[in-house]
Amino acid sequence: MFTEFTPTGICVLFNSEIYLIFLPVVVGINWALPARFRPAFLLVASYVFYAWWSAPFLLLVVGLTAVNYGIGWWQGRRPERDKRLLVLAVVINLGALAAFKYVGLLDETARSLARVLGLPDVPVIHALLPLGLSFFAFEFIHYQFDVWKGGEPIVNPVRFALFPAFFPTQIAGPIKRYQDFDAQVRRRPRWDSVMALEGVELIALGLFKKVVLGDMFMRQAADPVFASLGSATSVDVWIGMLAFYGQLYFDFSGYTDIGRGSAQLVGYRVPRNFDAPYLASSFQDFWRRWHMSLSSWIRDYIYFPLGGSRLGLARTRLNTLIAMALAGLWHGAAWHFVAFGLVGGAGILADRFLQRVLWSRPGLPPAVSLLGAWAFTQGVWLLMLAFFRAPTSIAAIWVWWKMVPLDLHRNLVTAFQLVDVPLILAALLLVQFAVRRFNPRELIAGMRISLVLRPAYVTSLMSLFLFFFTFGASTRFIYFQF
Amino acid sequence: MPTATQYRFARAVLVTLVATAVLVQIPSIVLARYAAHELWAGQDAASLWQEYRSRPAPEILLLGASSTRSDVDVDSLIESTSSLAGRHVTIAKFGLNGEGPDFYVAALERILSLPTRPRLILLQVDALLFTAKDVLDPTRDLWLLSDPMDGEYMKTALRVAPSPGYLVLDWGVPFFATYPLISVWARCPFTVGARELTRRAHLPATNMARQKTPCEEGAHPSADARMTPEDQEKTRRDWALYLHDYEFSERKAALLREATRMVRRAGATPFLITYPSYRLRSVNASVEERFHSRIVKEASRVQAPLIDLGGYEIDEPELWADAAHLNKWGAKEFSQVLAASIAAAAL
Repeated sequence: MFTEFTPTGICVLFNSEIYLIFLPVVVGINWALPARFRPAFLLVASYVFYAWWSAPFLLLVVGLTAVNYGIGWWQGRRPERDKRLLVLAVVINLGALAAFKYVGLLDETARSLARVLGLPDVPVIHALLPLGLSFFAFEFIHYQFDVWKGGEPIVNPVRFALFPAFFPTQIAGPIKRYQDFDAQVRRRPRWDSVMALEGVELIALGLFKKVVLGDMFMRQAADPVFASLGSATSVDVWIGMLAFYGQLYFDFSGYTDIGRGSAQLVGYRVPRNFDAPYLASSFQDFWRRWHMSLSSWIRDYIYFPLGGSRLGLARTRLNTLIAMALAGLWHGAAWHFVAFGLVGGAGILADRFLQRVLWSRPGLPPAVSLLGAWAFTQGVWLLMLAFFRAPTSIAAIWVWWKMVPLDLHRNLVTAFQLVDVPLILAALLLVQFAVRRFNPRELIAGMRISLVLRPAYVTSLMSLFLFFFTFGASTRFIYFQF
Repeated sequence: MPTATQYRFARAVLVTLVATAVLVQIPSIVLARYAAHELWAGQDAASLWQEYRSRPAPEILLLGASSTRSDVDVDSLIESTSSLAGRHVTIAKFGLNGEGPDFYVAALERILSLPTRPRLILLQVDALLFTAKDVLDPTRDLWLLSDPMDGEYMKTALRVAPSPGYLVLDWGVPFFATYPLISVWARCPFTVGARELTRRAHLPATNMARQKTPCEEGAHPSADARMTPEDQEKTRRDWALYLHDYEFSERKAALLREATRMVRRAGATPFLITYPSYRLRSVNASVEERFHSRIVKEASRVQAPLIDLGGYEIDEPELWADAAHLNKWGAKEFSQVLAASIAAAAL
C-alpha cells in the first residue's frame, strides 16, 4: 500500500542552511505585508515548508485540514453540539494516524504471531510516516473536542488552516491550543522588539543546544554505546544512558526553542514545552515540565475522559497506566515505546506512594527528602529512557542489566566522554537552577549593560553553533519521527 | 509588560545584531581567503588564481583536477620540455581537487580575459570528472575565484554552476560561503590543543585528538606522502563508489566542448589529457573502457588532440601518494613522459 512512494524532497531542518535563509525571508516579507494579508502569507510559507519535504503528503495535510474545518464549522452551526460529529472527527484523525503510523506495528505484530502459531506468512508493509502527522492529529482532536464542548469554531478557513500548519510548530510541536493561537491571529500581531529579540535569543540558544551540546557531545557518547551493546561495560552503559538523557533534552528542547523563537519573529507566542524538567523532584512535577504540551493534552483528552482520579484508587492507577502507555505509543509505533510509557506509569504510582510514606515523613530533613525525591524521579526517567533509545524491549532490559555490576572498566566511551557527559549535565542543572532563581534576562533587560551582553550572548552561541555545525555532526531532530 | 526602556534597549540590541551580521560579511571574505590558503597549503582556487595572474601567461597551461596538481612537477616539466623543444618553454598548472568541465569554463573566462594568454591549454579528462552524479560540486571554488568587478565571469559562473542558487546566496550573503572555511580553519588550534592536553594528562587520546588537523592535511594528498596498502585500498574503495552506476554526463561533455571553443577563440590550441593511476583502471574496467571510447570521440569532435597517458604504467608504489595521485618523486619521473608527449603533440 505504501511501499511505492518515497518523498523526494529534503526536510527543512531547523538546523540547516536552508532554514537560515527561509526564516529571514519569511520574517521580512511577513512584516512588509499589510497586517490583513499576513496570516495568508504565513499559511503559504508553512505549506512551502512542508512541501519541501513532500508535496504529495502536503495533500494529506490539506485534506485533513479541510475535513476538520468542515466538521468544526458544521458543529458550530448546530444548536446543540453533536457527539457523533466529534466521534467522526476523532475516527478520521486517529484513522489517518493509525494508517500511516501504526499499520507497520500491527503488521509486524501479526507476522510475529503468525510465526509463533505456525500460520502462513503475512506480507510486509513498509509504512511511511508523514512528517508531524501526530502533531497535526492531536491539534485537530483537541480542536474538535473543545468545539464539541461549546468552544467557538474558527470560521475563517485561512485562520483555521494556519493553526495546525504554522511552520514553527508544524513538525515537532509544541501542540498548540487553538483558542490561544487564533486569538493572536485575530489580534493581528504588530512588530514587538522585545519579543523579536527574545525570539533571536531563543533561536541561538536552540541551535547551540541541538548542535553543540546534543549532537556534538551527547550523541557522540551515546551512539557508540547503543550501537555495540554487546561489548559495552557498565561504565559504558552508564555514560551512554546519561549521554542520551542529556541528548534527548538538548535535542527536543533545542528544537522547541528554535520553533518558539521563529514564531516570535513573526509575531506569535507558542506554548513552552520545557520548564527545567531535570530539576523536577516528583513525577507529577516532571510531566508538568517535560513536553508540557503533550502532557497536558494527554491529561485533558485521555486521562480526564477516562475518569481521571475521580473513580477510586484502583481506577486512578489504571487510568494512569493507560494514559502513560498511550503516551508511550504516541512516541513510536513499537512495543518498546509502550513499555517506555508503562514504566513511566509505574514510576508515577511508585512516586505517589513514596511521597505519601517516605518523603513527607516527619523528622526527615527537608534537604534529604528533596534530594531523595529528585534522585528517584530522575533515576526512573533515566531507566525509562532505555526503552526509548534501545531498539527493542529486550535490548532495554539488557541495558538495565548491564548497569548493575558497576565495574570500573570502559570499552566504548573515551576518557574525555567519561568526564564531559557528567560535567555538562551538572552544568545544565546549575544553569537552570540559577536562571529560574534569578532570571538574568529580566535582571538586565533595561540596563545599559544589556546593550553589550545580549548581542555578545547571541553572537557567541551562533559562533559555537557554526563552529560545530561544520563538523557535520548535526543530525535530524529525534522528535521528527513522531 | 515591558517598559519603554526595555523596548528601546531591545531595538538597540536588534540593530546591533543586524549591523554585526552586515558588517561581518566583508572581513569574513578576507579571513576565509586566508583560511582557504592555510587549509590547502596555497593550493586553493583564490591563491592559485592570485599566483597565476601575478605573472605573464605561460606558453603551456595545464588546467584540471587533483591529478594536474599532483602529477605535474612544473620545474621538471619546463626543463624536459625546453630541452626537447630546443628553447625555453614556460609552463604553469592550475589543478584543483575534483574540478571538471564546469569549473574549466568559468576559470577560462578569467584566464583568457588577461592581457597575455597561453598558447596551449591542456584540459584534464577522466571518468570521475564526467560522472553525472553530484559528487563534485564546484560552487566553493567558483565563489573563491569570483570578482564582483568581472561581470562576464559572474555570468559564466552562474551559468555553469550546478547549484546557481547557492552561488547567488554566497555572493549576496558571503558569510554562507565563508563560515565553513573559517570554522574548519579555526578548528586546527583546538585539535592541536586537545592533543597536547591529553598527552600532558597521560590520557588515552580522544577521537578529535587522534585526527590530523585540517591544516595539517594541507593539499591532500600531500606531495611528500608515500602510498601505503591502506591508502591504496581506500582509493580503490572510493573509486568503486564513485564509478558505481556510472552515467556519462552529457552536460559536462557540452561544457568541455564549450571550453575548447573558448580556447580556440582566444587563439590558443586546446588539448585533452588523461593522467595515470596505480591500477585504478581495473576497479571498474567496463566504465573506464566506455569512458575512453567516448572521450576519444569527443576529442575528435572538437578537434582537440588527446594526450592519453591514463594507460601509462608507473608500477612503483613508492612513487605514489595514493592510487590516484603521484607524489613529488613520481611527478618528477612522470615529467619526462609528459614532456615527450607534449613535445610530440604540439611543439
